[in-house]
Amino acid sequence: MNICSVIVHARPEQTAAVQSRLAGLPGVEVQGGDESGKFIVTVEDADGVSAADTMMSFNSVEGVISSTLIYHYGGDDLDEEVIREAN
Amino acid sequence: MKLTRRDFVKSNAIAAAASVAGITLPVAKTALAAEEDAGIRWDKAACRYCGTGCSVLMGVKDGKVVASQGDPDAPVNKGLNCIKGYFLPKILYGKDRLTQPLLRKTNGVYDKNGKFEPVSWEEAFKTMAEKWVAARKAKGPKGVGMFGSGQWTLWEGYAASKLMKAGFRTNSLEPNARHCMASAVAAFIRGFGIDEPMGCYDDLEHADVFVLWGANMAEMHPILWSRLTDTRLTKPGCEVHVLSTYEHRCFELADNGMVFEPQTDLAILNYIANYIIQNKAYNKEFIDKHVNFTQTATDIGYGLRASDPREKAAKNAGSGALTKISFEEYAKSVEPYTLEYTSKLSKVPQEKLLKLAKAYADPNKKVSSYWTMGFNQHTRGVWVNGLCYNVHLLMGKISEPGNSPFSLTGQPSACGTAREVGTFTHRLPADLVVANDAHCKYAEKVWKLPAGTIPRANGKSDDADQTDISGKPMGKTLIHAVAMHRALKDGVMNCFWVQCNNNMQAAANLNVESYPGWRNPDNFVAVTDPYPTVSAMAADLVLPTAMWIEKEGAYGNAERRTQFWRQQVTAPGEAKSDLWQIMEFSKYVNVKDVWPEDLIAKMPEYADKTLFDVLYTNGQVDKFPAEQVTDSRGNNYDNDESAHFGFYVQKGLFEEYRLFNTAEGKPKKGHEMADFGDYHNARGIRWPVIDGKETLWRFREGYDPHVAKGEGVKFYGKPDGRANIISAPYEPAAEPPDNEFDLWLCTGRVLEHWHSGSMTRRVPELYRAVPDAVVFMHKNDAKKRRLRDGSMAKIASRRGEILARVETRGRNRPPEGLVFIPWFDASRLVNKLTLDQTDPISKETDYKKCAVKILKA
Repeated sequence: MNICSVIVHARPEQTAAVQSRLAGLPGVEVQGGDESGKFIVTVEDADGVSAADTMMSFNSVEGVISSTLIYHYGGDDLDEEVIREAN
Repeated sequence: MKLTRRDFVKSNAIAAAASVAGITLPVAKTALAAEEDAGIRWDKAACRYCGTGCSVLMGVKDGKVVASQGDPDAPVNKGLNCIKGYFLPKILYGKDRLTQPLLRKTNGVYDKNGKFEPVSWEEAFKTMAEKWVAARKAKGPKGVGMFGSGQWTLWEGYAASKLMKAGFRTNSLEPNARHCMASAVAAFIRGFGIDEPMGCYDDLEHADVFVLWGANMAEMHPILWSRLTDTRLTKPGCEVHVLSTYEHRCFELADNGMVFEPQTDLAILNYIANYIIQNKAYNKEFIDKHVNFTQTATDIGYGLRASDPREKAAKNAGSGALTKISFEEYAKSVEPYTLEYTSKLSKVPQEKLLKLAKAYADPNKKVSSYWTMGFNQHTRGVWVNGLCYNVHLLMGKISEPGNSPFSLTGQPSACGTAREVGTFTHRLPADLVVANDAHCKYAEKVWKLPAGTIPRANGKSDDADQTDISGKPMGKTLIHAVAMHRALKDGVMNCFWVQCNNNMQAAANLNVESYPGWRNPDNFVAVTDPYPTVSAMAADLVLPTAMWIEKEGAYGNAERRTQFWRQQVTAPGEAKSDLWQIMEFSKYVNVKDVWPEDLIAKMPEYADKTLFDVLYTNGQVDKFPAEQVTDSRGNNYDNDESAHFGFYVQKGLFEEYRLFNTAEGKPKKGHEMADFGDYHNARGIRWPVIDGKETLWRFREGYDPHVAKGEGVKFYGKPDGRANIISAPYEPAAEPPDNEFDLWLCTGRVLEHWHSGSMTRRVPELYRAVPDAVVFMHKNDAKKRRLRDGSMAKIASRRGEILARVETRGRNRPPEGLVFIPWFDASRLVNKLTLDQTDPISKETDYKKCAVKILKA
């Protein structure tokens, strides 16, 4: 199971359109951005599509100038419950 | 509310990205990130792939890599990571990792035509040592050869250099960087007298104008491209010029995209110089004080076999001779390159060339030029590198923030290992060369070896012949990468050891030179590899290796930054690092096997020793005892080499190496490095390191401590402190298209696959994304041949043919008359088509220009 975060660059005037194109891909959530055309998305494995396949398709999405991976987790324990000590 | 690891991980992922991007997000999205990830040990490592030198944090849990992220504290990538970075953990865990040595055998004994059978390390090295000693005696210094890599760690390259140059007394050591960086190196030495760029990546934020010459940064250096994109989109007036022989992804951001006819980059750069001179835009004060003008010999051939008619026809084949000229003579030499002539020759519209020339000529614009293989893999690669320096030097736009001619590299340690350690046939560490008797003597002193051990380029020390083990004079000893495959085919070289690269797939002209050379019945070829690559399968002995973070390592990137990492995980099975293999193999060879009596007589105490004893337990390399490696957070790390040899191998090798670049009395200044321990605590340090401080811009007062107060600029690699502007004309390519072979073929890489694909093709996602190499071509060229998108085509050159599917709408858009095929695909080897032409000065192969025809398959 994989979870990634990615920084995407688009031309500022196309940012909204690019964001909605990306959000339409499986496992992708747009998390926020700024006015220069830079924004953050998370990508997770979805039914039949790995996070990697989805990320690699970003470069063929119209309006994407660059997409840059920041963080990747690939462990098998994502659904484990984490108990936090109360403080 | 129940929280799972997913919630924590996702919060961490978002927080890391937000911090890198400088974007503020609602607190709820990142709140959980502040809490610790239980059970993951994070530590830095320099990325395994390109020459950018990104730092990545690798997360290890239960002895396995489970997570990775761009290192937020790294000045190179500032927390960014590229798509290949995502797969860094996966390259270690391919299903077909090699885990034991394999030797070709029939009926239990070695047989070149036998099948691979598992053997012990002892049997592997014993067999190999017998072959090597016999070949070294029978065939002289060129009888054995080693082909290493710009992906070797610093100490692997250094240990190999000692084994070959001092141990076996041969200069038959080359790195695959010969195919990649040699033209850049020769141009640095000719222009500045010292290797590697004067600027650094900080120029990516300082420049007003970026010019890409034969570099597809968007795919090959994505992190640098991301920094460049950021500057272009946020800095008012910033412009990007892109030149290439076909359109690629960088053209999307280009303000001035130019597709030129192959080889005419020579003419375009001379046109820019002419424009600068005609408009009197040049910086007169700078060139009066800091520049010499020279003319290079012309009509120099194409580095083909001497029997080739093109070599016979060349007036000055192989010559790099420079003659001093005046500024006026230089100006006259570029005069023919008018806008009209250059536009016609290059097929670039006049207004585009003019816009480019104006950007360089504007004294108020800071210009950074970037190039990679388009310049280096060029039969006039040394010239074209130099022509770009000419333009920067004419304007004085060099060695200061934003003004930077910058040669990018393709491998993670092409600079650190191949160039700085000097694993080329003609080199020794820190820019010393074997053509210089005094340099060799210095190396022999550092290595505690008798004077005259290292073979000189001409086989003479103090003007007397050096004696070989055969008793005969040593003779000429240099042999470059392309010549090695020719020597194997001709039976001049009988033993060959390839480490950390896939040269059967990578070298040009596979059918005619490489394969016949390796399979020549007289030859014994060993390949050290983590996977069964094309090279491993063509070898006689396969040695399984530990990769990247399965060993303690160090790389040097394109901006002179040296970076270390600790061993993070253990290699599978019996796989052992290249370093272990080099040192362990040396135990199987005795000094008496390879050194003549007169040399041993100078140090009789070495008479009964092995090469291991004299090279690696000389009181220096074994000076530091093995210790528990820990980080500042108290985590422990293994070091398998130190555990095996009983001393801190990496530290001993590095500290001995430093005697070449940092010790008092060193022959050349300017390569100074920091203590071993400093690198483990830093995100890399850029040399020269003086008083613990790194250097960002060389040759300029205030930035470079080697330039004294009041000197302003000093190119101290040259005795008179002046750089060379080197006049060189446009000369045609070796094999332009004709009536039969009517298309240019250019080869290169794609984003998803690194080099020959030996790692990336084993990652399922990358394989799925780009499974096969296709032939990118113009739709009109396809139509003329009754081909369409997706049809299978036969591509043939004078040397071989391959099949590939046609792609007319992909990421690369060639003009009519040119096709592009990537070289990662082991199932369709594009080097069956390419010509083994080289730059005659640098001996680097030109993979970008040969003639092919295409038919319907």
